[in-house]
This record gives sequence, structure tokens and C-alpha cells, in this order.
Amino acid sequence: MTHQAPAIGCCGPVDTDAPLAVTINPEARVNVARSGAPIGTLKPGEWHTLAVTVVNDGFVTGPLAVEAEPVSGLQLDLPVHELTGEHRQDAAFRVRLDAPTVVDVTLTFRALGALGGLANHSTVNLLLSARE
Amino acid sequence: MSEPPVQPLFASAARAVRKLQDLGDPLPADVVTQLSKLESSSLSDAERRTQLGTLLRPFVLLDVSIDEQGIASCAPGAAPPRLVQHGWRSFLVQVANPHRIEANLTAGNSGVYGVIDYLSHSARIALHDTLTVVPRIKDAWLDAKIAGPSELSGVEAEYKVISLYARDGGIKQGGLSLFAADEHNHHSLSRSPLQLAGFRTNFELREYAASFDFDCATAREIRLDIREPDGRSCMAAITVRDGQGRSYPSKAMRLAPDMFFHEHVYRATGEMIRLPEGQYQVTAIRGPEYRPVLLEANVDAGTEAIPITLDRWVDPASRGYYSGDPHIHAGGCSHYNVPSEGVTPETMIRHVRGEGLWLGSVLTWAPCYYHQKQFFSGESISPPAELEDPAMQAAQGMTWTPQPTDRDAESALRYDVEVSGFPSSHSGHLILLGLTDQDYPGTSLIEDWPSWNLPVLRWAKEQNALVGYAHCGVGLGVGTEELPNYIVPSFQGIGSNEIVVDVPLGAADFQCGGQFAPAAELNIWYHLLSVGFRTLMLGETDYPCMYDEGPGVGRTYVRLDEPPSGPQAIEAWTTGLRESASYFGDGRSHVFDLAVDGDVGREHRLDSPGPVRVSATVAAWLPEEPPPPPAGRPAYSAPVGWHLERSRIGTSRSVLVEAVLNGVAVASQELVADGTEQEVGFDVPVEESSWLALRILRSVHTQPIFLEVGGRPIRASRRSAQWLHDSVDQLWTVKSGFIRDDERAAARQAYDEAQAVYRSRREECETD
Repeated sequence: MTHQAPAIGCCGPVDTDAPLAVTINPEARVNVARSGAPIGTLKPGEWHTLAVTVVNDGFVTGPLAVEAEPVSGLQLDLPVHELTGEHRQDAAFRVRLDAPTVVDVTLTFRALGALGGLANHSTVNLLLSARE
Repeated sequence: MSEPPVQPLFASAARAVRKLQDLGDPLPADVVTQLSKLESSSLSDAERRTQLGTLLRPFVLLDVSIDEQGIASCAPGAAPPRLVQHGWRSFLVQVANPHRIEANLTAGNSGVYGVIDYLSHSARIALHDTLTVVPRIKDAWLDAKIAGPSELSGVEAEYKVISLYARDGGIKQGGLSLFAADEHNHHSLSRSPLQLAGFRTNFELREYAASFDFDCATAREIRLDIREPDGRSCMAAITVRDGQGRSYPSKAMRLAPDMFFHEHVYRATGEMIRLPEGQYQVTAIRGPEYRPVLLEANVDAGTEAIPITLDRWVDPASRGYYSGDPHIHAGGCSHYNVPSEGVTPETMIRHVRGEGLWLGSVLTWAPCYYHQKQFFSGESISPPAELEDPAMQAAQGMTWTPQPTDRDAESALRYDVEVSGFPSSHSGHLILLGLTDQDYPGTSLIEDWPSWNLPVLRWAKEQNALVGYAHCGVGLGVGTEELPNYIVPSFQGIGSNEIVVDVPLGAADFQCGGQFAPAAELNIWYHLLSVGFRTLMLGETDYPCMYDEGPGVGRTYVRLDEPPSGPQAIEAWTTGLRESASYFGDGRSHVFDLAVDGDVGREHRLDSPGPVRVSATVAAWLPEEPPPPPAGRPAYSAPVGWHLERSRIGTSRSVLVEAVLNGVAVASQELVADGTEQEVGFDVPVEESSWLALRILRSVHTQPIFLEVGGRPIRASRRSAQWLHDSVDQLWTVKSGFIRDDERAAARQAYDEAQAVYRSRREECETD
């Protein structure tokens, strides 16, 4: 067991019904994490929308891009989301599996293309499952 | 159980193997290679599953099976249970989850509950100021944690990583148990999912833990006898790895001053590191003014010390140039999920000394503001590099005693403020250097501060602080490397946004950079200089936010008659910035004594147009061959950061020194980066009042020398004036919505005044 002191301020857990939460801290670091909300089961051949809640503590504006490593049988529709600088925004992307299967996909969220360094919490892996 | 799908199985295996690498406990390289080949092979899924299990089996310490109730049963795997005293070892865990339960996997441990805040990753002790927990951990010799993502994804089989800490040496019996906390199907009102997972096992006769006879290699304290080339004692960054590439002390759990995100630790002459017997590769360095020293060390029963002599290649202080990093942090940012904590001045001074910096400005900012502001005193300090909590650290195996060194007094900290995470942060993050009062008048909370920057800057300047902008290039890239360019940026981020308003109103002194693409950082500075402003530019690190290697990744060197020391050290340094020569960069190249016609002054007057002689002494050091980029990290710091390696011409050892007049490179000379000081000289025609600087792009840039011809002010670019004017418009479009209603009229007035200044200067420019 671990002592889990509640995080505060910029880095606290995001209260959301979306399965993914992106936080941008005051230093414009992008973090992404699974929330407690379920992803659900996909139907083969049908697009499934995954909601993303963005909490922006960095006043960052401009594109929030999502990148993914290719996974056989998985199609991704990853539109670039426009950050307005608002503290909380809703975003979404779509996934489709060709056939009943289970895949593990790694997604990377990027804002401010020039940032590198420690922006290494911006990756999350998702288990996607499709059943008839 | 149904067969696990092969793609998620391999994905989890690859993640676990990467995690072991990150923890400094990598699998053998041939195993990693085989894993990669197997993942993409054309074998059947069944064959790939089998071969994967066979390949990783020798490294699996724990086999875990999750039953339909979500109860985890553990059994020993094939990996030998070899640990190291006062260190961490990490192993694979193979999870069988036939009921596809989604839960959070947690390792049970032996009584250190509540002591170490793993969630925080803050590299310090939670609650140390409210609770003495030393006695509790004295009886706890074994600790365990799941490293990396701990969620069971719901697939039938996957790999995880477990890290184990052994406090004691010898053969020790111990048990490991895991708990699967199911938050999705949690119906108890009185117990958390984790408590419920543990509670269930109390009423079963089955044994859920795996028992081991751990073989804990005894570690011994080895003294590091670190010396400057002249024999003086000092602090340095020491990296110790064994033949398998494992780091010492383990990165799996470090307490300040040792940071989990460093490969190295900072140690002074005579301080200790704990090592079991074996062969080690030791690397020692003290910032970029030194070449790394690599040595092989054999630790056996007779070893007491490892002698290390540092290899300094340049000594700017001997030429009167003193280094500083105006932007480092002791708390907050990605490393601290409980950001009210952070580390103390005793830890920060250790890091600053270990990088050979004269000054480090520790900036308190929003996530840690209320905790860290206690260290602000309005004076520079040079405390001893003590341990933060000796009793706790001793209980964790850090029994060494901090040692003073001959060079301690040469490094100082100054606690000041970065206006980041404040209401005005959309306008760019302010750095306020040399404050005497850190609380904006009439405020008690961050939220009370102004919602744009100019009032904050004016308040700070009333204290005679040197004020400017952090990480100037963030959000100012325009998709070109051309310098100067005339594309108005979109101001999407936290660069030096409002500087285009503040400089013409006399409220901002500098911007900081040396972190991102030069065009994104320098363009705005060049335009300000080209219409006659004396804006400074500094190199900074934003440690450990933008860069985590250490303080001084980006740094600034200031020419002073005396070393900056004592309570007024930062004031001496900032006065030098205003009045004397300085340069900034990555510390791998240096420009001394930049002069125009032999005059090193910042302001130079010419009676009439004509050629001037520009001279300087330049030194740079590159290894003869380009080193391979570090594994698992972006090459040479951030993907687009400043590093002399990025200045290397082809595969040669040469770099290009450029003379820059009004933002345009007008002359250049190749320089062999062999570490020697070399004289460079250029004849530069000067047709009008101008600014002139030297640079090695992506490594060093001097402050300009201002050349006034015939007493006329610098009005060198009509297009620069227009660019600045138009940037004010763009900034208002993007940022004004973040300014409070009751402050917006004053902001608009300031924006208008700034634009009026630019229009006036545009009309005064003689050239386009």
C-alpha cells in the first residue's frame, strides 16, 4: 500500500466522464492519463468516439495534435484540436477496428510543436476491444 | 482461459522492457533485440506467444494470477531473487488475468505505509515535518512497488515491472504479494478498492504471497576522492553504472539530494556512494567547462575510495566571466505530483555547485509558491550542502556525511519569483531577479495578482530588480529558421509575449532562452535591438521543467571585476549584465573580450560610417568524433535545443563563428573546437548606427555592442519596427480575452502606447 496524498493545483486528477484526460500545466507540459471512465466495447467496422477532457493551466493556444503508432487492423481518426486557452475544453477522436479483436495502441498528445525535453508524460496506451 | 491476443501482449512486454531500461536495470541487449524481432516476425501467434514467454521467462520474478474475485495469487518466477543492499532492483512480473479484470495493481510492502509518497515522485520525504516515522522503517528491510503503469488493462496476459528495495545485506527471507484494486466494481462504502482487495485475503486460508530467500549483495561505502586538476576539493556530478548498465544508487527510489530523474548524483570530495563488490564505469563532470572523465573502478573487499581527477578545459572565471543560471526551480513541474513540496536550499546548492555555476536563481512559482516562498530572504545565500532529513535518509541507507569543499563559497543561490501559473501567465512568464519583496502589493493569494504583466514588471523595477521573460521561444516559432524573419507569430504559448509592449514602455530588461530553435528565440530580440532598444538576452535552463539534466544547461556569463559573492551577489551580477560584457549559451563555447576597434565597452561611438575591426577570443570544445545520441533520450537535450554538437560542421571538429550586424551575419570564420582559446577578427563595414554581436548558433551568443554613428540612435530596420507593431496587434487578439475586465482598458492603453513608439521609430528608420 502507498500513501497517496491528494495532488493539488495543476496536477490534480481531472473529474470527467471522458476516458482520457489531458492536462497542460503552467509550464505548458502536456500530460495525458486514463480517467476512471470506461472506453466501452467497439463494434467491428464502426467508428467509436473517444472523448478527451483538456484542462489547460498554461494558457496554451493553437493545435493539440494526437499521434499514434500504427497498429494492424486499427484505424484512427485523429483531428487536430484547437486549443483556445480556455481552462477546460472537450475534444474527441475516433477509432475503428476492422474485426473482432483486442489491440493495444499508444497515443501521444502534443501541443506547441517546439517543446521537447521533459514532455514525456504525454503518452498513454489504450486497450481497445471489438466484439460482435 | 482464452489465449491472449498477441499484439497487446507484445505491447505490454515492450513497455515493461523499456521501463526496466528507464529504471537503470536493463535486460541484456540481445534479449531486447530478440524481442523486437519476434514482435515483427511472421511466425504464428501461438508460436510468438510461446517464444515470448521463453525469452522473458528468466527475468520474471513474480507470476501473478488474478482470480474471478480479483484476488491476486503470487508465485516465484524464474528470475533469481538477487537484490542489493541499500539499492533497488527491478524485475518483470507476468500477469495472468483470465477473467479480464480491469483493476489497479499494487505491491504490498512491509510496514512503510505512509512514509514514502510514491505518487509524488518528489524525491523527498512526505510528511517529514509533521510526523517522525523513523522507527517504523527501521524494521522494514524490504520494500516493493509496481513501477510504471499499474493498471491491469483487462487483457488475459500482460507484463508489469516490480521494483524491490533491500535495506539489509545477506540471505533474507521475505514475501511479495500484490493486490488488484477494482475501482469499476467497487461497492463498499467503508473501504477503498485497495483496502477491500487486501481485506479479502485476510479471510482465506490460501497463501497469496510468494516467498523468497532473497540474496542481498552487501554494499559498502566507497569514498569518492574528487579533485580539481589543481587538487582542490569540489562538488561534481558522478554517474556509476555496472556492467549491465544499472545505475547506483538505483533510480527506482531516490531521496533528495539524489533525484530519480538523474542518471548521476552530486557528490563532494570525501562523500560516499554505496556499492556492492564488482566492476563499475564511473563518469565525472562538473558542468560544460569540463570534459567528462571516464574510468573503470573495481570494488572489492579492500576498496575504500575511488580517486577522480576532473578535466577542466576552460575557466571563464579566470578571464573575469562569471556564470549564472537565472531560472531553476526547487519545486513543481513534471517531477512533483504533490507540488507543494519540492526540495530545500541545501539540495539546490548541491546541484548548482555540482554544475560549476557561480549563481543559481531559484524561482518560486505557482505550484509550489506557498511552500517555497519561505526560503526567500532578499539576499543571496551559500548554505552548506546538508541532507534534508538526516535521520530519515540514514534509515534509507544514505548514511554518508556531507562534506564541505574548497569551492563551496564560489556558488550561491538567490530565491526570487517566476510569475508562472499566475493570472498574467498567458502574457508570458516573468522572471524577477533581485526582489526585496516577493508579494505583490495588496495580495495574499496568487489569484489576486494582476492579469497582465506590465503592472508586475513596474512593481518589480521599483525594487531595482532586473526583470524579463522566461523560455522566450515557446509559441513563437513560425516554421522557418531564417533570422531575422518578418512573420508575425501566433503567440500560442508562454514565450516572451508581452515583451513587445513592455520594452518600449521601459518595463522589461531581458528575455531568457537558449532552449529552443534559435529563430523562435532570437527573432523578437533582433527586432527590438534593430529599432534601438538595449534589451538583454540570457541563457537559462528552467531546471527541472524544460531540462532535467541539471542546472546550467543554459547559462549566462557576465564580465565582472570581482567574483559575485555575499548577500548582494545577484545584484553584482545583474549590474554587470546591465553595464558590462556578457554572453549566453550552453557553456560549450565561450566568447571573451568582444571588442570593436579594441574597445570592449557596450556602447561605441563612431564619427562617421566606415569599417570597424571586430575582435574576440573564442574557445569551444567538441569531442573529435560526434558521440552517439544517448539511448532513450532526445539527442542532445531537447529535440531542438542549444548544444554545440548541433553546430558541428559535417563530421569535422569545426564550428562557425559569425559576426552579426543588425541581425544579419555579415562575416564568419571556422573555428576548430579543440578547447583552445583562439583569436578571431573581422572587418565589418558600418554604414549607419547599428548593433553588432558574435555567435556560434545553437551554442553561444554575445550581448551586442551598440555602434552609434554620428550621434544618431539605432534605427536599423523599418521592417523590424513594423513587425513589432503588428505583433502587438496579434498579441492583443490572442491574449486580451484573458485580461480581467477591470484591467483591460489600462492594458489597451499600454498596447496603444507601445504601438505609437514603434510607429515613431519606423518613421525614423533610414533603411528598410
